[in-house]
Amino acid sequence: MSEAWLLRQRSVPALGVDFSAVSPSRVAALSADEVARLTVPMGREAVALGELFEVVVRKGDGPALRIEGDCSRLHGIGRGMDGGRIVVDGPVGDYLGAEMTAGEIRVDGDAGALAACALAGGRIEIGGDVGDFAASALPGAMDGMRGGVLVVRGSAGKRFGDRMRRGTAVVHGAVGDFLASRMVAGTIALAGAVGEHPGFGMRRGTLVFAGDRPRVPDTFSPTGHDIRVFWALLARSLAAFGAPFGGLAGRLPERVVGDLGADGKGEWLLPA
Amino acid sequence: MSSLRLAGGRVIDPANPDSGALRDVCVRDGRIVAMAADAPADATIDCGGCLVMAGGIDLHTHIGGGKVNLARLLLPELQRDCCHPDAAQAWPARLDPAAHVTPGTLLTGYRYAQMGYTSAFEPAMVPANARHAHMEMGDVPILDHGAYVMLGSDELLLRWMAEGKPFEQIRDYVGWTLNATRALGLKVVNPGGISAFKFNQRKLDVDEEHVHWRTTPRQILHTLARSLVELGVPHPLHIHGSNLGVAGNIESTLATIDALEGLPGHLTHIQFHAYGKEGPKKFSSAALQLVEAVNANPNISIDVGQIMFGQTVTASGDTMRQLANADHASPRKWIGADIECDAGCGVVPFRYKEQSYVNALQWAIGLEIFLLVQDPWRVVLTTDHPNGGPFTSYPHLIRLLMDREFRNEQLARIHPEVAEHCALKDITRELSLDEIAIMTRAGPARLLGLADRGHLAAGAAADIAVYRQAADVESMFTTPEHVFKDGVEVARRGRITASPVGATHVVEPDYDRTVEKHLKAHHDTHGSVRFEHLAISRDELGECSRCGQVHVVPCTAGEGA
Repeated sequence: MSEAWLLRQRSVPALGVDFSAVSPSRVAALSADEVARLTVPMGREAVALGELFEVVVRKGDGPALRIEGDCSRLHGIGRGMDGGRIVVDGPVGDYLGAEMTAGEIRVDGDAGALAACALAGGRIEIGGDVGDFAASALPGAMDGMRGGVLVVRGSAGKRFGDRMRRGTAVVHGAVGDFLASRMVAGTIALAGAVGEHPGFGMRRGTLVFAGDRPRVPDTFSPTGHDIRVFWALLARSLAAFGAPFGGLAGRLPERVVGDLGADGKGEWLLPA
Repeated sequence: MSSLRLAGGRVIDPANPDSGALRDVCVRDGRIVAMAADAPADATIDCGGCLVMAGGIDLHTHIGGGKVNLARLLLPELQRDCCHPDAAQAWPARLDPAAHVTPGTLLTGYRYAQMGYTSAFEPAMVPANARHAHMEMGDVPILDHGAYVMLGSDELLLRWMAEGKPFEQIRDYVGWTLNATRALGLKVVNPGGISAFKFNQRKLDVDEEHVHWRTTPRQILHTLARSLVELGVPHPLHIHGSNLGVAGNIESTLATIDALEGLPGHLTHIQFHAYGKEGPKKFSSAALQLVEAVNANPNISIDVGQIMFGQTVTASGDTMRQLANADHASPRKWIGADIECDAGCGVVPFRYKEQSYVNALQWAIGLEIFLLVQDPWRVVLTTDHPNGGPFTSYPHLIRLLMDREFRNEQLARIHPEVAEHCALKDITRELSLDEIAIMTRAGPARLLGLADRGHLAAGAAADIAVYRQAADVESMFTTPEHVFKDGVEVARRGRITASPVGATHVVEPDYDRTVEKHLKAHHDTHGSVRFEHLAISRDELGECSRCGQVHVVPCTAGEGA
């Protein structure tokens, strides 16, 4: 059994902090002193963790890390994480859980841009809203989210699921423009409204619109497939994400595919 | 003023007598001076066991202008996480050496200086983009810089040639362009081909007509080369030939040499233009044919454009060829662009692989050219950064040229068919320090007309690199003991110690001003910028380049001007 750590914020950092080096598995092996002395880049300098946080040891079934405070200037929380658990009580900055391969992150607040981008495994749950490019690709990269689960309880910004190729992303609220642009594979389920140009350049993959029915663009067309068996399975797995996704099993959807301007094999499921 | 004595080093200075002798090199006020052996100096650095050479000069490296920025924008993943000083400590696995493929302006200046290079020249400045190019080069610290402006696929030149305008008018257009864009030389890229591409031609041989303007690359080459001779510009026409990268393009390259009819020409990244189409894969080395032509034509100089294995990005004005290369892009993305109908632009990321037959052969061809040309004064060491590989690979390249055993070790790692059949395996030549100094310093200085650079005689600029002599020349050339720029120490054992602003080198050839009337008429009807706003004044150049000095390289009195 490893230690679990509590980082209680002393004050909001003056500049952006790259928090990616502080992973649960890394701090699990350290003493409280060593954790406090760990440096992270802040602006153009390095700052010791102990200056930003009060470091408290807690008995727990770690490796685990709990952070309390306004973390909106902490970027890369859980970036590249390969196991363990991070819980943040407050808002977080950009790159939350980017490139994560395993483990769990729970944020009780809003997240910045590029959350869960290039996510490969594990589970990220955001209690508030998330910024642009969530569940998408790192800037310039050709591949987006490739595994794992992202759940957003609030709403999401633009380009949600850009270049996504595997995994499941769920949004309880509304999403911005260019949802699932250039999507290659994977599943996205929405309960709220959607912005302009959803599915732009979508090649494959699945979008489920459990809430408002969006306008179907001209580059998507209906298919006559019998999807009753598939829908029963998908609806059951989505039901686990909470109330807005309950009762889908009884709403057999209309199925359209597109974007015909790309490969045209992406599917939209529009429950009745 | 303060003086400095670099005492007791082995001075490798092939431009002057007694290269290789042990002697002192003295510096005062940023210049090399002759000082008596017993004369006191304000500072003395013991250079025992060291080689003292002039600062390196890269005559063909893409460090400024639109395409470099496009490459950075296209490939942010190569820059990711490399810049923070603590990044290595925090997470070493995320440090990507490929950041050197598209370095920012600061990294460019620092890395060059850390290797003992003190000057770098941008070879493809589009006239419409000259301001940007100067600003970007001005932002590169330490290095002296300058650029060759591109003509040859621009609407006006082709129109005037098609309309049969007198040669003098075209020559004066070239003269105006060199002045207005504050260029050091003139570059032509796939002569006429970038324009032909826009008229749906996908290749253009040296004697093939442009479908619309009916001019041929041969006519364009000759017109531009002759213009430079008459304007007295020291650097010969900088030629990126036709059919870059195409199997069998040695024919175009020989035709290009022929088109010059003895006029001076510098064939750049020649490795990409020395391919035959023999053998089972219809792709072979034509290095021998090329070298024969270079040896036989003293008007021709070359730089090699050696490829290096690994990730890089190719950035070129040659839209026609880059469209063809886009299929091989790795990662699979690219940019093609036009700029004011002046020229073109293609940016294609590329990974050269040791086990690829084509890439392995390209690697061997480059080395064959280096090792077979007789006159080192006409060969410049380049990788066409970043097209063949980043400039940070120069020390490795120098070791390949100086150390046959090392070269053969590398040869054993590449595609077996190439390793078995290439001429390179039988070449025993190892370049000497003098020859390396010529290819990286004295030669490029002479080809650019920079009389006070690239050597260490009294009166020369005190751009000096001091290398601790070692058996492994790669590590020796990677990290000099001291590097001086205009007498100021800028790097010591790989650490940057000062960051002065480099100078801009330009030419200001005289030309007949009446051509401006015709240029204005053209721009009034066809241009998107007022003619009066095109030219960059001396003052504006200073502003662009962070108030660096402007060195005007003298033009010899033209024969016909």
